[in-house]
Amino acid sequence: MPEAILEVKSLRTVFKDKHKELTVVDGIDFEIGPNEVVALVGESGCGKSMTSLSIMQLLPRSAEIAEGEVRYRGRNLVGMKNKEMAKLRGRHISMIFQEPMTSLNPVLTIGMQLTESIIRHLGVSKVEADTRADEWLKRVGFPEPARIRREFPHRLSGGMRQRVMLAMAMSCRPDLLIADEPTTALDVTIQAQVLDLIRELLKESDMSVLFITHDLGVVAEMATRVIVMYAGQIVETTDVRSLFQKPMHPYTKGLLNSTPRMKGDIEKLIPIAGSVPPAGMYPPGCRFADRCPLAEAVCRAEAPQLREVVPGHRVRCHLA
Amino acid sequence: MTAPLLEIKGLKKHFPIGGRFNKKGAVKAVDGVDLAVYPGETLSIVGESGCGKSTVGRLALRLMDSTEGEILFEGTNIAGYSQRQMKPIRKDMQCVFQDPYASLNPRMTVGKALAEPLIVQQKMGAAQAMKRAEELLEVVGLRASATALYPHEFSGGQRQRIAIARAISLDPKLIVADEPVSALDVSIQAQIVNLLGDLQQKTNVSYLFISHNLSVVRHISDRVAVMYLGRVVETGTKDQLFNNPLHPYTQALLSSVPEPDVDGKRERIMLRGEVPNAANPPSGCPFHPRCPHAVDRCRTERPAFREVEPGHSASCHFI
Repeated sequence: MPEAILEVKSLRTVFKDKHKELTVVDGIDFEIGPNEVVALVGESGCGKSMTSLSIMQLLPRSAEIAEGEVRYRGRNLVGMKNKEMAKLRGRHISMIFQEPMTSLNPVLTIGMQLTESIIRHLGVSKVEADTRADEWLKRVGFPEPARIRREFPHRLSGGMRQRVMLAMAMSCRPDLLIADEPTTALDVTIQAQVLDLIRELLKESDMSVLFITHDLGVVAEMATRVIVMYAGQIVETTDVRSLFQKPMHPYTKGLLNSTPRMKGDIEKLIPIAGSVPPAGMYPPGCRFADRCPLAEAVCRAEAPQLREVVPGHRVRCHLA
Repeated sequence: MTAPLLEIKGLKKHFPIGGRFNKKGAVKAVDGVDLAVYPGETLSIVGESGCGKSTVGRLALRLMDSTEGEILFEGTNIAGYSQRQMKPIRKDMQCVFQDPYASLNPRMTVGKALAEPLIVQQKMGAAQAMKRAEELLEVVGLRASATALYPHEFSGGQRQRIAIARAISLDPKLIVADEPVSALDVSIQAQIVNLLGDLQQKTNVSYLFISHNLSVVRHISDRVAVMYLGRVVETGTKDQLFNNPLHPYTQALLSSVPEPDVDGKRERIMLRGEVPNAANPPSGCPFHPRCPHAVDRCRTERPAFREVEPGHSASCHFI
């Protein structure tokens, strides 16, 4: 097994105030190898975005990592000095978010924002940085990069902004790209363009990607391996093919059954009953037991462990 | 054939740009739309952001005034009706919006929010209206005791159920549902899609379902209209449209949806560029700058919207 780019070990992230601590990411373990695309899937509030912010050490002030390690090429990022972390961010680990408008500075031109990280991380001259910025803008599909560099973010459409974000994230050739719902706010034809672009960029580098999404269609299209999260925990993880063909956790099966399809017969959707319990209100046994059609007495009494059921396929379920 | 419940003819909505003294043209959000919704059916309008689909819904409900065209509700043109003339018709046409957080008054208990339209429109007494509110909550799968709670005490999916309970409270003939499941997680989305289907079977209500989510539309619709830049470019029954899309835009749109399935190679039609500005739409066929098949004729001549097979129409020179 080649050396992992990223290792997350027993990560526990909490929201904290004077009176109480609320665990939102509860003991997450995973690795990302070179050139792997790992999808982190789950519904609102499952902790997938808090996991990505924990990796980047970008948690909001009210949250902190209570336990665990995040190792990038062996170096633990938890507790790393901000100055050190800033050298990694944007250079070795980049991130793109759902809403590109909130990630771009509205009063600076695209060019200023794009060259800033190139100058800072790669130590090249302004002129050289402009040339590299132009190359990347061309790469993400702007035929006239010099014109785009002079534009302000509000002059661009959502799809164009997300492509600028991608150019910015890629400009220092990072090893790891964290993409948090990068196409969720885009129209489907534009989403197809952006996904296609990410795939092409992957082909010509050995970058790894952590792709955070709630859309199983996007997972099937992009990922090599999938991690399904529910209520702050990993409930199932395996390669993408097994996940869609032999899902084992009842929650994963529920997600697949409730997703409407574009092909095949139109069957009535089978929803998952109830809704996700809020953090801090999890039931004592299996956190999915109240919504699970198969739940037995043991599920309500005892919390299941994540265990390897077949090689490479881990499931957190007593009945798997 | 039965008469349509709602029929829209040549509907236009132009938003002027600039002030009163320096007019700079107009955004043609809706630019000549014809649609019909029959009793008991679901007609979906699909399209991407800015295609005008939500505006059509708002115009049909008379939540905004149209620039031109007719809106026939049960055969009567209501396009020019005043708000007072609209009031008796409002109970027959209701709406459900995308964001259930924004459509419920945070300072009103759910019971009050549900009882109010009953008191106003059906002149019910307060106690009777509250009792009916409890029944409505049970119809949409919530507990009757929920009448005493405030909207913030519910999850997003539950709030959308409350919004639906309010929409059906006056036994409307038409519900305009504008992206009603787009803000919901997929497991909850399926609950709401099923609920809308069950209600239609029980009450024979018609839906004008506005959505960008094509796989949801495939599950819920009888007929589908595809909009692009303020116009309908293709309509057909669900099977016609999804199995045999004729317009190149519909074809591209359908092929762009990622399918949660690892087998089955798909041919993806990648569109160039983005949707043009509706203030300055392209000449000829408005889709030509992005169309993979465009020829000179498409740049100059606007294609007619014509019927290709019974019930299936599209506007393209090459069909």
